[in-house]
Amino acid sequence: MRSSSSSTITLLVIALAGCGVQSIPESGNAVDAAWGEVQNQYQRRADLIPNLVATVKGFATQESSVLEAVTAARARATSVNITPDKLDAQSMQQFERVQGQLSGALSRLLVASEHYPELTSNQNFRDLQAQLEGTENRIAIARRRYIEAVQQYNNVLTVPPTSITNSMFYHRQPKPQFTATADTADKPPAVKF
Amino acid sequence: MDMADLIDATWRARLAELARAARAEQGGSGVQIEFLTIKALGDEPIEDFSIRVAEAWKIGTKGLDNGLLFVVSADHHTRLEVGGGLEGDLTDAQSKRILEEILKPAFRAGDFGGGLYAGARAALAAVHGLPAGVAAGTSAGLRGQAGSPGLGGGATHAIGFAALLLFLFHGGGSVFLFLLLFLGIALLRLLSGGGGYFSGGGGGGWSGSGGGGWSGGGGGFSGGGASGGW
Repeated sequence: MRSSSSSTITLLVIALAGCGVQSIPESGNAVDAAWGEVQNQYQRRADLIPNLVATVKGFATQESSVLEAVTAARARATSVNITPDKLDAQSMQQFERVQGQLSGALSRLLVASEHYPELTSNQNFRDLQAQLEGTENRIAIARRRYIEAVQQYNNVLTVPPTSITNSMFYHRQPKPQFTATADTADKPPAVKF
Repeated sequence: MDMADLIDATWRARLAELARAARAEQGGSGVQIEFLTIKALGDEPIEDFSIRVAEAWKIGTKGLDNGLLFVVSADHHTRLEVGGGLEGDLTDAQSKRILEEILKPAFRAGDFGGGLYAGARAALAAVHGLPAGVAAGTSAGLRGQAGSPGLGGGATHAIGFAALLLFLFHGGGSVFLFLLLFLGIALLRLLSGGGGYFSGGGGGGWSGSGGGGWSGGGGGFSGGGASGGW
């Protein structure tokens, strides 16, 4: 009797190892971390903008409307912060919209800057451009890693046998995915040198 | 790795020696610097290519994230990829300057080996990783320790098991049916072979390759650095 119950326990443990009890929360944590990194990198971009605007202002005196648009878009973008537990399709769409608007405004600013040779040869401006370029690259990587983490997580939630564990114990919902469409507002601005 | 055959044997040896000496700092967990030249990128942006290489090669020490990667594509693109742990000392702007002010003029003169060597020295100096003539003390304790995932996994399993026992005592028969289903699937997988069920190599486990800190292997990269050309 004793040996049969211990072998039952052994079998239960074997069964549990692949049933999602562990992998569902783990994958969920990975998604949360990946989302944190996405927001982090967008914040990093927002932090660069005041300095960029100040530098451009000194040279490109006729671009005040473009500069104001960037400042306004930045204010809107930084007002949208989504904690992982509030992350759903709707809030993500809102996040994407404000960040996309900021990308568009930034891109117009950089295109306008090209008309001012003194600005483009200014070392401070060039450093800011390099930082902005690097930040756009970090955003792209953070987004890709988020997409991969969500793919993994949603698979764990929807593909048996782990999906059965989810419907029994966790009742978790799939996480929203980035909609990588051809929408131009989505694309980071091309920073040309 | 000089796949585009841009660098002569003398410079290759010097670059290899510089990389070896830099890595030997800090008791073997100094900055790991790698060089890659390729013939052409095709349609892929150099940033995408470079991060793929950095992730695949797992450059740097885990936890310290102290990898550096120079990528040179013979179709006139350069990139310096900076590991997450070095971004504070070697900013994107500094990386850009290394590419523009050191690599570019040398490359234009056809001096790929010398340009890379000078660029690598500047990058290492920025991150305080330039190998000194005298070996700095051995601080072996700095080496990133590979975690023991078995502990965390075991704890999670124990909790899951306890939860199941609770369900067994409180819950109805349907729970038991599901358990039987799990058992069946587990046994089937065990019988069909293909590696241990606990190894996590298959569908269930978080198999790395994606995220930063959680993935196994070497140093993490989050896209720091700069791209240039000549």
